[in-house]
Formats: sequence, structure tokens, C-alpha cells
Amino acid sequence: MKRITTVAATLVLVAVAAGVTYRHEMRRSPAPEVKAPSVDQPRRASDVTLLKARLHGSVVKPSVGTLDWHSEFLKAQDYFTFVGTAALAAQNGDPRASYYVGRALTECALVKNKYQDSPDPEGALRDEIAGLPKMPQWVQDQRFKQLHLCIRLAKEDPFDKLPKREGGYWDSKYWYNQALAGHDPLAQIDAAATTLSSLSANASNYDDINSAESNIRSALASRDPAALFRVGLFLTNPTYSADPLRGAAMALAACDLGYDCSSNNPENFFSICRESAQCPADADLGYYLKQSLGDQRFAQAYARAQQLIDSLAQSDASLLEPFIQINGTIAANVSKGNNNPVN
Amino acid sequence: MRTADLDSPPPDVQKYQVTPASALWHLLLGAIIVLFIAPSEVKAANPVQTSAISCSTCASLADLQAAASGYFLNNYFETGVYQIGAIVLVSGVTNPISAFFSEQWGSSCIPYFGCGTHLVAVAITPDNAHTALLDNQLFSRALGLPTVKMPPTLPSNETDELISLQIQATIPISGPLGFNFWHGLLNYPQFQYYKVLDTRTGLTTNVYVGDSITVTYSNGDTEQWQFRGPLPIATVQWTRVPGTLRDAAGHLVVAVPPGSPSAPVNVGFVAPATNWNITVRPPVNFCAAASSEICIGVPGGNDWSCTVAYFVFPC
Repeated sequence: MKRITTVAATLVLVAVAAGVTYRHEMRRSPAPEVKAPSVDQPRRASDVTLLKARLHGSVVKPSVGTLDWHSEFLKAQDYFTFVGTAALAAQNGDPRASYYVGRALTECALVKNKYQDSPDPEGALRDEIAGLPKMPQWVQDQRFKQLHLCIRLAKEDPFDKLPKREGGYWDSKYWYNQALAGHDPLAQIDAAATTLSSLSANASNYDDINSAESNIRSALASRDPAALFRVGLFLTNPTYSADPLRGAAMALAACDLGYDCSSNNPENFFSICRESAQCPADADLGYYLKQSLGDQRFAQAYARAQQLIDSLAQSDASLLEPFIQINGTIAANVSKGNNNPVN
Repeated sequence: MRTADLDSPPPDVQKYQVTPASALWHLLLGAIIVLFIAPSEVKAANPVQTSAISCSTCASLADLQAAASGYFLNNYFETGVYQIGAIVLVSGVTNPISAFFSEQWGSSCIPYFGCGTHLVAVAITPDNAHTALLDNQLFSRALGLPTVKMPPTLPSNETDELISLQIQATIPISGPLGFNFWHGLLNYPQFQYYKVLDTRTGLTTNVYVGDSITVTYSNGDTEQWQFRGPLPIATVQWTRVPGTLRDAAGHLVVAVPPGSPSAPVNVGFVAPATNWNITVRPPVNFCAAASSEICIGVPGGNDWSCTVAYFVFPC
């Protein structure tokens, strides 16, 4: 009995010590002494686990459904099958499924436009490529890959199990709107980006900016790493952000929260480097940021990423507000409180 | 009116620096002018002298302004003539920025001359955001890319999504530019640019976010499309520029909606009451022009409130 008590006491002591260490880690000043991880090495899995734990164990699975539609989308060998499955889930109220149905339709729109009536799509593509003798092999490979992913979707109807709808289901906008209506964070970021990028410096409108901020606010509150990554990159643009470093911090936070920031993730625009050989094949987001910012600035961005992660964990909306505001040059001409641009 | 050929080597901004010896002579000359000719009495000639220069080192509105001031001073030193109200367009060579400046009297500090009233360049283009906008409207640097032809299945009234995908298939992004994709992240203006591969030629071209290209439809219509990069939404990287659709003869097919990027951009500024215009011919078959419009005298002063318009058109 005494031995059991001793073991139990030891375990309690170890647990308390671990807890104190962990709390100390959490309270550590986020200022410059925060050491940024080496961009030469991928973040260790244990680091990611720790950072996830800082969200009180509540790293969000963005989809209300049972499938990780992002992974399913990337794994798909044939978008016809994927769309058929995802569309049913979307109709059952899964907004992330809806978003990826839209993505698949967008990806395949050109193949459908060109080859849906072609008796020999591969032959047609070969002829097309033969007329472009300077087209590099990697682009040719990409074209054939896309054809194989999309050709069945181009020729058959994956929506035949859905109830009839006026206008049908082929318009990707329908699915994006469904996802937006279901408060999907990726759809919210896309909507914000579309709104903002359609504004010009001379025609800013407070309502539009307000709407974009609202979408970004909701997406951030969801703690969805993919949405955080995307909005972060978007906000590196000073047109939308008076402090573009915050965008870099948001994207880095997304990496720490589990988003795949490597070039292995085909969703990242620099993943093209693996094929084009026009940039380092294995470089990740950290690499590009570090090269652009230098060590000191990168450390600052990383420190702010940690602040953001802490703010997300505290669920205090006011702490997130500085990361949300659209205050770049596009907002400079807008008089908040009315809709009239200041000339 | 002078017209600059931007194909010619850019004038080096260093050219406008003066040596101590020449400074002494010009200091005397300048002092006479400043002392005996009150700035308010100077009348700008009509038509106003206009010119365009380029600057290889400029990266911001302040840099362009320094180049413009140097240009005005140098012009005066070389010819002894100054012209209040003269307009110069300064364009970056390596960075896609341009701005208009007006020659004015103003307080400034100049090496060897000290601080006082000098000829200075007053920015007409109001801020850094407009330097990039103006540059794209004037030069559309991505127009170095040949027109992207649409197949008959993609007419001009097809969705933005589909036409953008066809552009992306013709000139896909092949990577961020070198290591400095976020170069200038902390120093506005920041330029996001990418390498795009022209699958027709096998050549890569740098395209800045905001650059435009010409799309030609199978019926001969043309339209401008603007690059917005993959960051907002990965799948749709190009958006049409409203009001730029032209028929095969070059006539506008639709009216230009007010406030659209292709519409003349009106910039409020204060300038002498002189109508002026400037035309530059970029190294591609595209023309740009800018002119003052509607100059209204400000009551009780010598200043005039003008609206500048600039236009871009095929030529």
C-alpha cells in the first residue's frame, strides 16, 4: 500500500512539474527571444502536437461531416466519383463537401468545355500539344493528368442522384454559395478575397470591406488552419494590410496548427516548383519567408504567430481583431461610417 | 511636347547630382532667380513642357520624386530655363511604378545649395498605391506577352472562370520569382510577381500582380485581362478588365462603367491652370496618354484645382 502511495505521489509530482513547465512555456514572452524553427528542417511532429494542445485540445475539424474532404479531393484519381460522393454529403449539410464539389467543377471546367463532345479526348489533347512544340514536358504531364482526373466528369452526370433543380448543379458558384451559406471557413476566405480583389484603390466601399472583414472574422474564429493559411497569404499584400507582416504571421501560425506548408501540398502555389524546376523543389513557406524577411524579421513574424495561436486559444474575439482589419491602401480612401469614397 | 522612348537606355538618376564647382555658379544664378523673381509672379507657359524619364533605382514615390526634382534642377542648370508647371512622368525600370510630377517652387534642402526655395517636383500622382496603378495603366508591362487566343468554344461572354482557366493553361505560373517573392514585404510598395511560362514559346516572363494582357477571341474581339495571382483564390488567377472589350476594328464594344479600372482614373490635385497632355509609347503596341482636365482656380489664391485623367489604348 505504501509503495502504491509513493508511486502515486511521484506521478503527481511529475505531472505538476510538467504542468508548471508547460505553463511557463505558455507564458514565455513572445518577443524577440522566441526562437524561430529552422526552416531547413521540417517542424517536428511533437512540436505540432504541443501547439495543438495550446488550443485546449480543440483543434477544429472544419467539416461537420465524417470525411476529410480536403484529403479526399487531393487523393482523388477521378473527380466524377469524388463529386458524386461529395455532392451527396453536401446536400446533407456538409459545407466543406460543398466547397470541394465547387473546386472539382472549377478544376475540370476547361476539360469539360474542350473535350466533352470529343470522341477521342486523349488524341485531341495530343494534337493540341503537337501544335505547341515548345511546351515543356512538365506542362504536358500536367495536362494529361488533369484530363484523366476530369474526363469522366466532363462526359457523365455525377448529380443524377440529386433532386432536380432549375439550372442544374454544374455551376461551381452554386456549390461555393452553398458552402458559404454553411459558414465554411474556406468559402468565407474565398468570398472575402473575391470582394477585396475586385475593389480598386479608387473605388473602395466600406460595405464591401466590412463584409470581407466579417468573413475573415468568422473564418478565423473557426481556427481552421487551411483558412488561416490562405487569409494570411492574402494579407501579406499591403493593398489590404497596413502591416503585411501580420499576414506572414497568420500563415506561419497555420503551419504550426497543422496545415501542410510544404511543397508536397499541391494547394500551395509554390508546389509547382517540384515540377517546373524554376525554384527550389522542396522549399516550404518558412523557406520563402525567411529568404524574404531575413532572420530577425522572420523571428518577429514567428513570435506574432505564437501570439495569434495564444489569442485563438483564449477565444477572445477582441484579441483577434488586429489580425482581421482590412487597413491597407485599399481602405485609405474609405471614410468609415458612410459609403462614399473620399476623393 | 517631348516624348520619351522607353526602349532607350534609362537616364541615370546620378546624372542629376551636381559638383561643388558647378554648384557655386548655379547657386549664384539660382539666388538671383529666387531673389528677383517671386514665385507667385511666374506664369507657366502654354503649352506646358512635358517629358518622360525613367529611373533604374526607383522603388517608391519618394524615389520617383527625387528623380523628378533632379530632372527639373538638371534641366535648369543645363539650359538656364525653368518652367513652373512643367510636367514630367517618371517610371521605374526594375519596379513597376510611375508618377507624374509638376515643376514648382518649394522649400527643400539640396546638397551644396542648402535649404531654401528651390525648384521642386510636386507629386501629382498622390500616393504609392497610385504609382503601381498608373504604371500598369500606362505600360501594362505584361503586354510583352503575345495575345492569348481563345478557342471558338470560349467567346467573350463566357464565364470569367473558364476564360481565366484557358489563360492559365496558355501561360501557367511556373514559380515565384527567385527567392525574393516577398521582397519589399516590409517596405511599401511591395510587388508580388511570378514567373509565367508561355507554353507557345517556352519562354518565361515575369508578371506582376495587377498587370494586364490582351485576350483575343475567335471572332477577333479583344479584351484586357488582369493578373491577380494565385493568392486570393488559387483557381481563378485572371479577371477581366471591365469596359475593355473591343471589336476586331478596335472599337469599344461596351461603354466604360464609371469607376472601373479601365476608366480614366481621376486624381484630385493642385496644379497650375494649364492644360497639358503627355503621351508615351511603351515598347509594345500600346499607347498611353494623360492630360489635365477641368482646372478650376481656387478662390483667393494662385493655385488651381485640376483633375488628371490618364488613358491607355491600343495604337
